Amino acid sequence: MAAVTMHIAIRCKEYPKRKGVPARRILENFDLHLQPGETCAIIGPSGIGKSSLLQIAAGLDRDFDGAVSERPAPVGYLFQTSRLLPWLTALQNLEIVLPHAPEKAPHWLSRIGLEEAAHVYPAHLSVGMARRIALARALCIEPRLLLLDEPFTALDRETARSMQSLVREEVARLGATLLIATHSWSDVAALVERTVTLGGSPAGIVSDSPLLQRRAAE
Amino acid sequence: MTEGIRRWQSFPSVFILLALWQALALLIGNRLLPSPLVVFSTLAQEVSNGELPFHLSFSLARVCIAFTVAMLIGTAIGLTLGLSERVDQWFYPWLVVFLNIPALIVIILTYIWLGLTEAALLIAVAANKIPSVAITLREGTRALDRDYAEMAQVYEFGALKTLRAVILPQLSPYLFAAARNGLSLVWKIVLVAELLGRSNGVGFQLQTYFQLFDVPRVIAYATAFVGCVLVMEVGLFMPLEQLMGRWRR
Repeated sequence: MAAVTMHIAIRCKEYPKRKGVPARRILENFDLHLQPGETCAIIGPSGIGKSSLLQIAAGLDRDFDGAVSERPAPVGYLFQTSRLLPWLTALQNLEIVLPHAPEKAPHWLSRIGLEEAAHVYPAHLSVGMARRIALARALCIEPRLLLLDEPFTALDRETARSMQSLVREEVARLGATLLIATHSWSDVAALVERTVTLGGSPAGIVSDSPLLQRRAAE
Repeated sequence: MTEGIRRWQSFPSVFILLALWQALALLIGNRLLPSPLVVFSTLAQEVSNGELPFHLSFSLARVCIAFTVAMLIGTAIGLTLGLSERVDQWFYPWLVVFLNIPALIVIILTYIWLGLTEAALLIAVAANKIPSVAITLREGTRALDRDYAEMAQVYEFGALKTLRAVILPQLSPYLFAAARNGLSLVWKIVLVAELLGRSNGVGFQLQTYFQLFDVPRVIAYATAFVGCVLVMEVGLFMPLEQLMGRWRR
């Protein structure tokens, strides 16, 4: 089967009026084509709509004027918060997304250096540890589309580097499409070939720079 | 301090309650308020002649069946209302109406419509409890964390797995609250329903001893029943709650 391009087209994304907060248009005339295996960072100031864009790309938010076509599957998504199920241990949080291959879960814990936390509940993990487990959860399903929302903000520099190389390795091995929302030029330099910068209000694409930003950062 | 030690520390309070009871019995007089000793000897007598186990078993069976039915139906209704705003808009007022119908009226009407039968009793008791279970579970469902539901959607959990792994664990405090309140309400309603329309069970016995003004036996039967409910609380609800909540910090 021929590889097809994922297309995210948003004519308008609006937050509806809610309890005294007026309706707000956040994204407008956003149009992004992603080739299979392409790695792309969405950059822009806080609150501009980067996370909303990832929600739309994942198919979680359908309340917008536009369409997402040819979304690769399965989707691995590292949310802005870890969203580990608090009543499951670290190991069980991985096993639950691997119903056909739960035996892979311990291997993934060792890949993120947390095999000793296998039977620990998320309430007893640090934010950084929970983040790494959430990243392992996104990767262990062998995603064809990987969405990362501010992935390494809670990690120290060294751990962030090792997680970046894990992501780079897996994305290359799987030929997955990577879309990452970040403020970090280190993430951009380590992980992507293309940067899309959001700006304005409502936000739209102000620059789309294949390779250039990465080279600058390097 | 461990949970076990804390639990044992509440035992002296039971003895204080017994001492208060004894003091009140001495003050009021044995005829109106028999002492704990008189009640416990009456209890032993009723156990040895087989009367209490016979009637208690009927009442407990009714409590278990009505409670289970009420929990299942109430949970299903609560989940449906909590998950669907449209269904909630239509049927929540019904729930409020049923919640406010006095238990006695439901029992009387059910006996009139279905006759003085076992099924009528069970339906009446369950019908009294269903609205409050539904309301509690509706609130719980409305408080579900959407973040986990989105995670389940991304990782393609499907409906059953989402219910089992995402929704029910979040609802467990609400389920326990509904179960606890449910049990305490159900056994009281069962006694009233037995008193009004059955020829066995603790409620029936209480009516008989009320007519005979036999206060020790009234209290003995009530004590036995409360004891059974306490055993359920300590032997079932508390360990289950501890097991379900072991992930909390």
